Amino acid sequence: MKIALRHGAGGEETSKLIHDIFAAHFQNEILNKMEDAAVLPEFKGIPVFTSDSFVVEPLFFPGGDIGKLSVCGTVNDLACMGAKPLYLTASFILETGMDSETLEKVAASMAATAEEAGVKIVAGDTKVVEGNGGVYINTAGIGVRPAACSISAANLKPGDAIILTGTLGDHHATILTQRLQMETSLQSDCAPLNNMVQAVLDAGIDIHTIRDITRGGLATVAAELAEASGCRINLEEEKLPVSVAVQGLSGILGLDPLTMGNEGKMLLAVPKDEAEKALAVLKKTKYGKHAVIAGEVVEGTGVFLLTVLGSYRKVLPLRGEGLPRIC
Amino acid sequence: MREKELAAFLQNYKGRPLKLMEVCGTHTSALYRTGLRQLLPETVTLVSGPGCPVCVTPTSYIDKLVEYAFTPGCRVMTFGDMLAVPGSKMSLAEARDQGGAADFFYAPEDVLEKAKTHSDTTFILAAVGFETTAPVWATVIKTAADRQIKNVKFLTALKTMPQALAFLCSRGKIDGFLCPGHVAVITGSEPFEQLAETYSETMVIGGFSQPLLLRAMVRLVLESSREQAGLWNEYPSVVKRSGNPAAQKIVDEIFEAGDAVWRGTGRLPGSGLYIKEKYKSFDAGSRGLNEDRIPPGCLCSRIVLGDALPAQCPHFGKRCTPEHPVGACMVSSEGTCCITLRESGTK
Amino acid sequence: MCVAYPGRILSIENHHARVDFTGSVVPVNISMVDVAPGDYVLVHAGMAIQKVETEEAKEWIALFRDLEEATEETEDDHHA
Repeated sequence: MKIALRHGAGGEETSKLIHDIFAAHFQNEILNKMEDAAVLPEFKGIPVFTSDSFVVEPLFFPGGDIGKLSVCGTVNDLACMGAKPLYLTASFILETGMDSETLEKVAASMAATAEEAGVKIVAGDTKVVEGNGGVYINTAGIGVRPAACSISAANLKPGDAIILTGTLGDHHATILTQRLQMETSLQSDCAPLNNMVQAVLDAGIDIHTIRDITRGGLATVAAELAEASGCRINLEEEKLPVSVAVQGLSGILGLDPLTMGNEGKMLLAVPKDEAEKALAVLKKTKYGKHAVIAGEVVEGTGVFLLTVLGSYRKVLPLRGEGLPRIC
Repeated sequence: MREKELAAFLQNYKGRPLKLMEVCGTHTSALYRTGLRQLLPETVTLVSGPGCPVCVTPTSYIDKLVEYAFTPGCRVMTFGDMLAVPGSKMSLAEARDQGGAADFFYAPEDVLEKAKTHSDTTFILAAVGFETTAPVWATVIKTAADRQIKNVKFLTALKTMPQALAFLCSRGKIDGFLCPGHVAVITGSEPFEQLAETYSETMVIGGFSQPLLLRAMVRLVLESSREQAGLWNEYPSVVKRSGNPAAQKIVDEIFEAGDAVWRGTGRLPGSGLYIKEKYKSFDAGSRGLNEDRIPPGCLCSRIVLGDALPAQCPHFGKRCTPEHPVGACMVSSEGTCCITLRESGTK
Repeated sequence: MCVAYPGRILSIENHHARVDFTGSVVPVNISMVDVAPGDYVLVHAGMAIQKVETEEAKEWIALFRDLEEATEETEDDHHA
C-alpha cells in the first residue's frame, strides 16, 4: 500500500496506520494506553534528555537501516553522558509514495533495536508530506544517571588514556559505497552501545568522558573534546584501528579514515591506571571486542597524531560538507 | 624496523643546508599526513612548487565554468575539490547555492552514462589535471566520439610538468626536486633524466605511501647533500623508463601542445594540452582562458614557485583561510597555504 | 589531484575490469594497460594507469647500501 496524504491527516487512516504498523511493533504498557502523552514512572536519579533526527539515504544499507539508526543514535547519546536510557519517542515524517511494507520493515527494525537496548518507545507522531517515498525520523530519549556521575566532554584530564572501542569509518564508508553503487563487503557498524558502557560503569571504572564517534569521524570528535576540556589529545597512528576494507575505499577515493564517521563506536577517556581494566571489560562485550588504547590526554591544546615515523602532526576536524545525509 | 633508520637519517642530518622542492599537490599533502615533513631538520627547507592543478589555473577558467552553470540546459561536472575554488566573483559551489547547475563525479567516464539518459542537458566537464589525468580525459573524449554522445563538452585546463620543471631548474635556486610519481607513471622517468642532465639537478621520483615517500626523501637529501646530479627512480613498481605508451598514444590522438598560463609563473610555451581540431566539437571554449585576477597583496604567485612561504603573505591566516580563501593556494585542499595553515603545529 | 591507488583485478570484460580494493569492488577502465585477473593495477579517476610490478627488495637494499657508503665516507673524512 502506498502512503498518501490522508494517512497523515489525523483521521481514521492515521489511527489505522499507527495501530497496524507502529503500535503493533512498539508494544509496551505505556504506549498501549494511546494517551496524548506518556506518563512515566518516577525517576530514581538525575534525568538526562536528548533528541536526534535521521535523514539517511539510502534507507536500507548493509548492517542497518534508518530505523535501527534512529534508536541507536539517541540511545548512544544518552549512554555518552553515563545515563541508562529508558524511554524514547519516535516521530515520523513520511513522504507520499512510500510503501507501507517499507515502513513496516523500519518499524520492525526499531522494535528489535529498542529491545536489544532495553528501551521502550512510548510516544510519537506521524505526518505525511508530498514527496518521493522518503522518510525522516526524529527520536527523543530520556534516561537516568546517578547524582554522583560527572561524565562530560569537559572532563578530560591530562594523564587520561584514550580508548577506542573499535575500527574507524565503517558507517561512512558503507553509505558511500551505496551512493556510488559499489559492490562491497563493508557493513555499517550501527549498534546500541548502552550495555557496553554500562558494563564499564558497573566495573567501577572512573570514566571521565565518553563520546560516540559519529559524523566527522575521530578527528572531529577529538577536536571537540580537546577544546571543551582545555587539553591536548595525542593519538598514536600505530594503534588506530582501521579495517582493510575502509582503508581500501578511503585510498581509492582519497579520503581520510580519521574524518569518516561511525554509528557504533565510542571514545572513552579514563585514568591511565584504569585503562587496562576498562579495556578488558570492553573486550568481553558484544560491540567492544576490538577495543584498543589509542592515545593519551596531555597538557596543551589541539589534537595530534604520533606518526609511525616518530613525529607529531596536527589532526584537524572535517572541513566542508563531507558526505551529505549519512545519518 | 628499517624505516626507523631512514627516519633517523633525516632527523639527524647535519650536512650542508638544502633547499628542496616537491612539485605535486598530492605529495604536499602526503608529506604532512605521514609526519615526514616534521622530521626534517631546520637546515633542510622543503618548499612546494606549482604541482596543484587548481592552484595554477587562472580565475578566468572558473569564471567560464560558473557562466556555464547559469546557462539554461547546461550542467557543469567536476572533481569534488574544484567546487570550492573561487573565480573572480564566485565558486561553483556558490553558483550551485544560487541555483546554478554544478555537480561532482568520482570518475569522468561516469558522466557519459548520465549524458545518455539526460539527452536534453549539455554536460560541461571541467577537464583539469596534469599528465596523470590527461589520458583519462583523452579516453573519455574518444569514447564520447566513438559512441556519438553529442551532449558532452570539455573545458580543459590541462598542463604538463616538464616545461614548468625546466623553468624552475633554470632559476638555479633549488638543490633537489621530489618529482611527481604518478605523472612519471605516464611520462616515464626519461623526461626527468633529461632535465636532471640538462640542468645538473638532483631529482628523485617518489611514491605516495609512507614507506615510499620516506625512501624518496632520504634519497633526495642524501644525493642533494653530495651535490650528485642525476635522476633516481624510487617508485619502480609503477614508473618505467618509457612510462605508459598506450596512455601517451591516446593523449597524442586527442590533444596537442600549446602555450598555457600558469598562475604566478606566467606563460610557459608548450605546457598546455588542447583538444585537436578533429575533436573540436567537444571543446567548450578552452583556448584563451588566460586572464587572471589576483587580489592585491596575495602572494600565491610567488608561493607556487617556492620564492615565498605562506607565512610571508599578509593575508595568510587572517583575511585568507580555508573557510574564506583569497588565493588559489588556500582554496585547494592540496594548496601549500591550505595545508600549511591547517597542519602547522608540531611537537 | 594525482590520487591513485592499487587494486586487484577480479574479472575482465572488454575494456573494463572489476577491481577489488580490499573489500570494495569498482569498475575500472583498463584500455591503457595489459593485464589479467589476479594482477594489481594503479587506478586513477576510474582508469588503470599502470600495472603494479611486485616491489623488489633490491631497490630498498640499494638505498641502504648507498647510505652506509655515505656514512663511511663521512667517517673516513673525519679520520683523515
